[in-house]
Amino acid sequence: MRIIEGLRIKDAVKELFIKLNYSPDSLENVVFADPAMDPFERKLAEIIDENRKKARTEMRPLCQDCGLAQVFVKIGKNVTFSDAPSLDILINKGVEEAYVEGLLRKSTVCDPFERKNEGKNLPAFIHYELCDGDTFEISAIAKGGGSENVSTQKMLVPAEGREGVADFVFETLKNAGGKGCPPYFVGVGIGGTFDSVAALAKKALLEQVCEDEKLLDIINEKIKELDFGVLGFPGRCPVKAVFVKKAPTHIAMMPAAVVLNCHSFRTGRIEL
Amino acid sequence: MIAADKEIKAGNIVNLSGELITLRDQSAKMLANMLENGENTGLDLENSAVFFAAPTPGFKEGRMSIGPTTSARMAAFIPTLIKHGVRFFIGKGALPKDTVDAVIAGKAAYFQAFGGTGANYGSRVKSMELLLFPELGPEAVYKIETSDFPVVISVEIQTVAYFFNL
Repeated sequence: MRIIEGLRIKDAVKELFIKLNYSPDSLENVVFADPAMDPFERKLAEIIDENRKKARTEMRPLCQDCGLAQVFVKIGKNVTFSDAPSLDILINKGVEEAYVEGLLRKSTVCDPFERKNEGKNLPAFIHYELCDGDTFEISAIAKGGGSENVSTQKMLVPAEGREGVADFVFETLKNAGGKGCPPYFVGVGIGGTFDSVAALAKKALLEQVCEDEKLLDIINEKIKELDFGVLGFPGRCPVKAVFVKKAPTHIAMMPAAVVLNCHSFRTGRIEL
Repeated sequence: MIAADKEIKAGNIVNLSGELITLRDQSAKMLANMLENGENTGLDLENSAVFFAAPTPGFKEGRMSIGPTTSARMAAFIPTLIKHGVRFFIGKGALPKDTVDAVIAGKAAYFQAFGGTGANYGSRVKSMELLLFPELGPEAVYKIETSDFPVVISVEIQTVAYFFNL
């Protein structure tokens, strides 16, 4: 049995969410400004690049929307935890400390109708996955409301195939326009069930993988027709990257989910 | 009042300086309700500028971020705010057509700020004061003094430029 100290998990989650909001690994090598852009679009892209520098050097959050804390945990069957209340409590405590001590904005309201903000950015939204061995991994995404609001999900007909999925991705982007702060990082999930496909699309963002090159080619061709660029203004660069994950599904089904992430792409992963 | 560093022309990026009042979902709704009911808000809205935004903490520490949120969600409250003196709106994205009409009819102006660049805007805020609804946390109404806030005048309402002598 591998024993992990509970406190280490809490601290690791706290550090991860602070890092995500100031200088995430996922933006380490990303540059938005491109000499091929026209001057106006390039100016906007430069403002985004400058923002990233300011966030790092002045320790200001990249975006005032520091997001909901979304966590994907992978736990090996040989792993257990010492002096720990429960994994849920540890992760939530880590998130709370990150948002309170890290001077991050708390954007969670505890009831969709009453909308009271309790100032802790809790709960964390956690997915657990069990696996073999000694693994203990936490992947996380700090994702703002703007780009989550323009993400979509649809039950397609199997016969629609890759063309149908690519059309759906295109429609999602077209409808989103500038609302979700492009250039977008796009996570596409196909297969599984109604509930699991959205998580699959998010995992595509977290893992930055493409499991279907043919679909990617069709999507990349279609998105050339989008009529907006950086931040939704006229331009040519509405999308920075597209990631795709697939899963087995039912003979009658082809669920698809498209998760759009803004240019403030804040994901990270830790292993303990 | 706010001032711009160059001509207000569609598609131009200009830097705005001056006082802004922050509003967003809950606070905009609550403020509009108070105004419609004739309640005293204690705010001086005459010729004021509203920024659809909610900051992070950390102003005192020099670490605050603040950037625009989607203006369209607050579009329903814009006519009421114009009626009570607000003349400038700054936020993210385009406004619905009927709101654009209301902005033009009310001789107001709308500027688009750049979404997701809160660190950049945060570094251009010189002072900050809580005005209303502290119970809303980040959604509370703040008065912020800005210096060189980069924005672009919305293409759809370029005609409003003629109403102003900034």
